[in-house]
Amino acid sequence: MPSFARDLVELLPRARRFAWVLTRSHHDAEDVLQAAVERALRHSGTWERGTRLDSWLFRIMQNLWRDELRAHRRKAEPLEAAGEIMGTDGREVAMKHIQTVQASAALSQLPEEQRAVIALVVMEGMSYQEAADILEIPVGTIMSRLARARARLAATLGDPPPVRAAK
Amino acid sequence: MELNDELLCAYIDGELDAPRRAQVERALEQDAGGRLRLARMRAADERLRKEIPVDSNAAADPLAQFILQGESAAATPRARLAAWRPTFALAAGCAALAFGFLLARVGGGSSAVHEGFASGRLQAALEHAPSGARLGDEAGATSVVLTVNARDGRYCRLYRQRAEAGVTEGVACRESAGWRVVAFDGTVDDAGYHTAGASPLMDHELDELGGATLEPAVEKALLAGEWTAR
Repeated sequence: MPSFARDLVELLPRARRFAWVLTRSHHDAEDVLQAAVERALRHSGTWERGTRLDSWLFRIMQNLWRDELRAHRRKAEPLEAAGEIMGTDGREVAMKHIQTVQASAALSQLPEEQRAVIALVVMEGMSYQEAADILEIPVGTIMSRLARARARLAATLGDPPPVRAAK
Repeated sequence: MELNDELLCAYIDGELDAPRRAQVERALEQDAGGRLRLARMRAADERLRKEIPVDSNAAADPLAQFILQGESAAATPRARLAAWRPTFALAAGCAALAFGFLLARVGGGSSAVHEGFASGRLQAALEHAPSGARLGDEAGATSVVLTVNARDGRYCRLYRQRAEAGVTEGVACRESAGWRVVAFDGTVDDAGYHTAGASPLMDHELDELGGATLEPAVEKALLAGEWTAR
């Protein structure tokens, strides 16, 4: 039998990624996630079974960050020893690490409102209406923020595969 | 049909109905620039999804234990977990440190804007530097993010400048007298090692100027030809 607690646990990895995109800090992301989980458990009665649990939780996280936690955000934590991420093929892992840093850096440079839209639409695959409901803004605003975000991201991350010439 | 960024986004995200989708596809057939912008957006999407993945190692997550066992939050210390590191969280730390390092290295408070026109290092970057910030770039304190061909025919560039105080973003347009800084936002991000967020004010300025972002090949040709279009 499905349980609210088990559904919530299944959501944690995606919720954690969303929290990191919002806060840009591992430590703040955990704060937001834990606060959201506590609130979700306290108010589990208000979630309507059959509606999307992820949208409900993501909205709680976004509101907590916006209304309460953002003012107390912490500075970034010191970098861990690089040796922790080395694999058996040192060179391959190093290249992958550089690429991951570039994607994270490009995303981090976006304004928070654009990061939120990118996280929901591009990374979570939500529709414009679903994203609009979570962020409590009109679909038109979703579209303009997404266009601006993608223009910036395309400039830094968008080296395309070869394009076939027009006939 | 003008293939603006919003339309391309709606096309990528499957938000267009069938007739509109067909219209866009027909327009794309005639528009190599549009096809390239589409490919770049898709490539950037793919990189984000691939390089900032979800970490499904939930077994080691104390938050999961807390939810399933119903322990009180106060009793569960949220200590740092040495044995478990989401890849993206470590990458975020790396990115933050890399930019923090750059911030610390750049000094000087030389004015880069003289009577509304860019001068010194800013002028040199606007005139000569290709778009695209890369870590470890020799350009140092100034980098150019993108170039647009504005509605009024001017070439305008979005730039970022790092100094001890923080990061400034601005938009400058090329005129006969030089690069006129039409807007800049010197808001300082106080989050320590984080890179400063990009400026929504500059995005608004770019929207006002209109026009499309230049493709790298087009921009490269312009830089090589000293900004003279063919």
